[in-house]
Amino acid sequence: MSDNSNFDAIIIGGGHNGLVCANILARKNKRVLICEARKECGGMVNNEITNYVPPVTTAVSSSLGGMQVNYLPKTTIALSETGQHIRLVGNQHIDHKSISTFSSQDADRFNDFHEKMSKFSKTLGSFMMASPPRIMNNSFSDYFKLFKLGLNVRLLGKKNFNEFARMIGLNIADELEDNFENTLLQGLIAHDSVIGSNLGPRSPGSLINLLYRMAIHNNSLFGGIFQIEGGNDQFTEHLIEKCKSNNVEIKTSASVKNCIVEDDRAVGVELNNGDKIYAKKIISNVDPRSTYFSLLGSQNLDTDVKRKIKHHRSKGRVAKLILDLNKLPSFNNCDDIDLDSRMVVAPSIDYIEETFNPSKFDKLSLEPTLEICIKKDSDQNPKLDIQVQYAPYKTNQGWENVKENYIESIIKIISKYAPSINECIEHKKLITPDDIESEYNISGGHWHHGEIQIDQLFMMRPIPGASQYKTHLDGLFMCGAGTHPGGGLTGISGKNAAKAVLDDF
Amino acid sequence: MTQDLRYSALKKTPFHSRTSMASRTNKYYNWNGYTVPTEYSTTELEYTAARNGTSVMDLTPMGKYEITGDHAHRFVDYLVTRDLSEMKDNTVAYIIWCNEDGKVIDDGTIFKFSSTKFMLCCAVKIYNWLNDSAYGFDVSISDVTDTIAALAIQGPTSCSTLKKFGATDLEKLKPFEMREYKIDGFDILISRTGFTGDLGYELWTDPKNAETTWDNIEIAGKELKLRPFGMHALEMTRIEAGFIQTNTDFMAAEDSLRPTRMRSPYEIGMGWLVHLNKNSYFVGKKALKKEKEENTTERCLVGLDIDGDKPAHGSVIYNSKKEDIGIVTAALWSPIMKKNIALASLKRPYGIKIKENIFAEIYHPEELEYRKIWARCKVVKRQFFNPERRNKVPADLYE
Amino acid sequence: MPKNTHDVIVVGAGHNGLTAASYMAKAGLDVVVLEKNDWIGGAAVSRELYPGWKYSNCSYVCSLLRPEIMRDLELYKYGLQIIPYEGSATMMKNGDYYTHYHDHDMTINSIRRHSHKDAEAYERYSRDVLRQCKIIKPLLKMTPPDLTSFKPKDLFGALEFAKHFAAKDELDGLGEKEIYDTIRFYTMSIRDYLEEYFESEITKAHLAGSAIIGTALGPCSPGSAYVLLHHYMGEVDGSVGSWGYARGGMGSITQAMMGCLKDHGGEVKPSSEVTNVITKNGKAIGVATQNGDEYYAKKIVSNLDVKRTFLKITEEKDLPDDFVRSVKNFKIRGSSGKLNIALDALPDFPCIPEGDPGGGGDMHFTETIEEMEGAYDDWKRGEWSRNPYVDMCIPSKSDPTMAEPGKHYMSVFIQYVPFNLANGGWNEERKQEFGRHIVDCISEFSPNFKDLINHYEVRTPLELENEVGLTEGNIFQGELTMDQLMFNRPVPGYAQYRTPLKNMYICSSSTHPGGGVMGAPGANAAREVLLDMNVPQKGNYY
Repeated sequence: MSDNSNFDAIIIGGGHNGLVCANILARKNKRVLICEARKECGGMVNNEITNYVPPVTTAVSSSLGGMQVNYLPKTTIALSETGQHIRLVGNQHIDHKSISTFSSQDADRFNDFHEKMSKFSKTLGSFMMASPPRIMNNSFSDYFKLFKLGLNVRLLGKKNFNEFARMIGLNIADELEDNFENTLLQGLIAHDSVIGSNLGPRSPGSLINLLYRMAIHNNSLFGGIFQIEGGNDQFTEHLIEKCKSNNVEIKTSASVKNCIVEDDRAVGVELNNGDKIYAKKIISNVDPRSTYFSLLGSQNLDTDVKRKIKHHRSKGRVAKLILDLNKLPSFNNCDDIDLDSRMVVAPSIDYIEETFNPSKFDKLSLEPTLEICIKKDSDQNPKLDIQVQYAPYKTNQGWENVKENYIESIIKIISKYAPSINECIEHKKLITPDDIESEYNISGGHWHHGEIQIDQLFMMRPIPGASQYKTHLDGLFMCGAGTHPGGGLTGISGKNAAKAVLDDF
Repeated sequence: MTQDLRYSALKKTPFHSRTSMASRTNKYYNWNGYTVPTEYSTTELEYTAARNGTSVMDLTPMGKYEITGDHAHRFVDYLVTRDLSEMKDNTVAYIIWCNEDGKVIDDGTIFKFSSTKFMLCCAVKIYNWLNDSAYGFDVSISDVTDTIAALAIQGPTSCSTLKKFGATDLEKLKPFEMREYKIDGFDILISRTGFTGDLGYELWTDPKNAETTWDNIEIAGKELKLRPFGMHALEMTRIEAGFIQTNTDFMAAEDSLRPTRMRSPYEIGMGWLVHLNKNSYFVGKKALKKEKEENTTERCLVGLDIDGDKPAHGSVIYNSKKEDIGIVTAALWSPIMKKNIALASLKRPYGIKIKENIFAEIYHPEELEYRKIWARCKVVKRQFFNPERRNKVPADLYE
Repeated sequence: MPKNTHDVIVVGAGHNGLTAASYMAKAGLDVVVLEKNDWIGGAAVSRELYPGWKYSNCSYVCSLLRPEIMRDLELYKYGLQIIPYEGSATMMKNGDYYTHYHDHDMTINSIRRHSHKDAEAYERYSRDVLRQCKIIKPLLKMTPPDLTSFKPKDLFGALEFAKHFAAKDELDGLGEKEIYDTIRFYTMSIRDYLEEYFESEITKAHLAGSAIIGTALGPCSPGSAYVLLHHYMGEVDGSVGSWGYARGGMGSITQAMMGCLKDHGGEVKPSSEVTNVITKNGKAIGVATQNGDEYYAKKIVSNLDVKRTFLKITEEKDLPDDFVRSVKNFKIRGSSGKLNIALDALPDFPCIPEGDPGGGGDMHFTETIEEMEGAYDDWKRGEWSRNPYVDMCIPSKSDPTMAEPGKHYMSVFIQYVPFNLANGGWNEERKQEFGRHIVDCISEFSPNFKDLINHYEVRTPLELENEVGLTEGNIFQGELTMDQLMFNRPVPGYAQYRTPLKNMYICSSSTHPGGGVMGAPGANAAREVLLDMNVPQKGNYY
């Protein structure tokens, strides 16, 4: 059957990784079809869900023939109830000055801390750009990669090597408390370490989360935060345009029911409307759980694989609150530049930890951490786009019963910094992880399609045995954030997957 | 029948009142969490009953699982390596199943009542495995080990015994077929299956009916040389028949601590049960296909005919250069064949290409001293004993 | 040559100090052990704090003590015997209970009462954990290699370590899958780990207990699965993962070690608190004690935790800055408390039927992981857990030497109790309040418990620090998290029992493989000292 395939590859899901993957394949003269279930491509990269994007790496952009979008750097501001905000831009000199107004010791320590973390994130980053090597796979290239990583770490020098080894299991709170005295600064860095994850600042492993984030943010704590000129959806718009010029065919509102399996190989897809399309390779941009249980189908899976996928952790913990405003309220002690910044409400490590505690058992905390972004809608009316963490994926009381109360409690927190906020609100909309799951077809509604924790990283991402963009079914690949290196709007998964697919041709 | 399981170690089967009365030796062992007799009188006499008259064994501790639901047939076909898509109602099939690496978890028998109802019988506990495997199938699994009482009725006169007991026309039942009877107001399922490699049946009924059934079968078999039969005698007959036993001849993949101890079907002589050309996927198919294609099978399980008369229990097997090439997993001096036989797991090519110049090192205990015997072995078919009456239809009757 | 000169001085007569001292004395060295208290044993002691009752008032049960050490030091000769547990139980508020027994089939039947699936899953779980125990077992006896060094010794050490990690000897080697399992086991939270096997809350809660005892981690913290392994990797009479009582209390372990030490010419001096290490030309040459004595030796071995060793008895100027900073950052957090109780009779626990051996070992009453994590959340706030996890046992049920016949000694270990109590810290009043709180918690499951109490001793992390000398009262002398294990323990680059100060060694539980009355740090350290002194070593351990 595969001989009369109409396409070389079908990509299921037109998220940014799918688009990146499609373009790279098409540039190698493959006929590619993207099937997107929603009305438009782009997945979670749009003006509603995405507040900030990291810069696209040169590796990804060059494999796409360059990205012509304009990145606007954003300042980060940690809001303080007393008005003693901390503003950081990712420039060593400026940030040092900014912190030293609170504590000169912290300012010096911040530079050291940053330097150290950057160094480690670079080491980690070199590992993220390629398909992760498997251990004992008897493949020369895998052994070589492992050796190279080992060598990279060794080349950090004795002192750094020891420090790196120590850091892998460390929690961020300990590291911050050892270094800094200012609780707001601690809170801010801790917030960035745990955002999007199911870890608290005191959970071991939260430090590697931060390194991971830095690796995709220019190896910088605060210097890799951007918005795209004209709106973050320009990122996907640009990728879609590229698809057009590369002759990638895109079908929207085309939701895939399952893979067509013949002779233990994926040979095509069947759409919900009954259409069958055949291709040589099928690439899934959807999350691992859906890829395995819906596309691949449990009748084609080994029991051990089912066990692993069933326990793949992908419960999202970030909700989004969108407040449409009639006018912008003033924020205490903030100027216009501040209002264009990424505003973080995470006053201290303990605050974050307390809001984390109930979420472990799917309970609601009414004092979450916030990342506020001020945007304008098409009519130039201001709106607040707020990332809220830790919001449970599902609550025992049921989201519909607690949503109202939850929204009010968030507004109450904001009113501490912007007392007049209540008068400005026209419309409120809360998007819970549960909503993200149903709206964007992501099981669990997790940003990264799966927790960023060591047991779900590298050669174990998403699950051991499926780490090199291949699934357990021949001919079916994965290119989504559930694969190495994970989410964060980098497109690296898509790029690496494209390579794995091309190697298989 | 529910027992209070608080601080109790071993459970009793519904036949316990009868088996314990029949036991003259009071020798018991732990089978799957139940206490059952190893031996009632003497193993030799019990063995003889299985090859001469009728032997009766309490099979209740066997793991028994009921699989029901719309997808039952599809699920069973997915679970096991054998192609069961054509399996007929009221038949039984011998099966094995594997994990994702194509290593055998267990062997057993599957009973098909209809395409929505099956029963699986096996040695190890697999309730968990069945449930985890069933994810995504519309089936429900229930463990009926405690709720179905089972007896093995085996031996040349077993058909006559059961006919007398009330199983009309039983002689017409073909091997691996089953039939439901109503006897004394209770449903009794009889299948022509067994573990002795002889004419024989297995009987399945409600635990409430257990004691009456035992009593009536004893009466029916009184003139037909009936004897209760324990684990030791069963072990003798199954070795003669060349049947394998989990965790004796191979380690169940879900139980082995050491990854290197797991075995694929090809390594335990069960390749004939693997149907790689089966249309649908089955657990372990990918790995087994790879093993077959790349020819990476490392071991084999063979029958050995060993010189001398000293059973080679646990013996190490050597080649002519005295290199260790495998181990005996089960050994027996066969009373009926007067042969010294054994099952052995050998490293290929021994047992497959090289069948000569193989030796067993036997340590034979003789009054506090061991005699070391260097015995020459011949690789032979694993099925040492296979009488014609075993598969004869109609079955032999003694009336 | 100054007087009071020995081959080796060991600072602190805890079980690791005595183990190291005994091995060195057996090898023919002249060893003296200096102890600050007027009694011997550190945290492995039996003390009669109330007439007629012996308390194992710190550590209370034994499993991890390496059998090779017991064999080499012939501890049986000096009175040591381990009595295995008969069972372990979690009592439930609805009057039911959940039990594990010494007998495997009984355990399976017991779990099956709560969940059929869990009973079977338990067998797979036990296999997987046993596999991990087999992997780690040979590593416990090894000195961790220095991965940054290019010395042949370290390169070979690393290879050896890798070989053992791949379990070449114990398991015939591992496959790719098992290696991933191992990485997962070392990094996951116990909650996530158990959820891959079990469905019922009670099974998970009962098993998760081992993952939090003594640690400042909760069941949801990544890394807690390893702590479970740490509690499983011991054995009693070859039965891996079993726990038992030391006959005569935990003190009989250290008493037996002292017996061995004395038989080989060693000496123990109580009431001799070491105040500082005497150095000369950047080398340790001796120690000074509180009472003004000075002792000199070729080698000094510290059984104190890494913070006490380097921040208290050693001067900072003798140490590199980086090292001091790392030691300051070493995580050593008190999270546990204890009650030692003298009882007039055996208390009733109505949840556990009479005659059930389930009550013959550790007993708990935490029914869910959520409760357990809640107890941890309290601790993070600097409070003692309102709903604590307790590990209580009555050694006198099995051991005839702890109390008069009919009378009983009960040991109650409490998780979590902070070292830095919020709102003003510990004082006598709050300590007693804490004690009463725990007694109340237990009384909920034992109506006659309060009436039987003759006397009880309350131990907070503060007491453990002040009396035994465990910094912050951490029972492992340092958290058992990945950043502080193996090559990283106590401080990366100094995991080989040697310290930056020449001739100074460390043998406490702050070093690999960590705490739990294992003796391995002591034996490993002794090996390194003997190696450096070119003294031949013998014994099954090496």
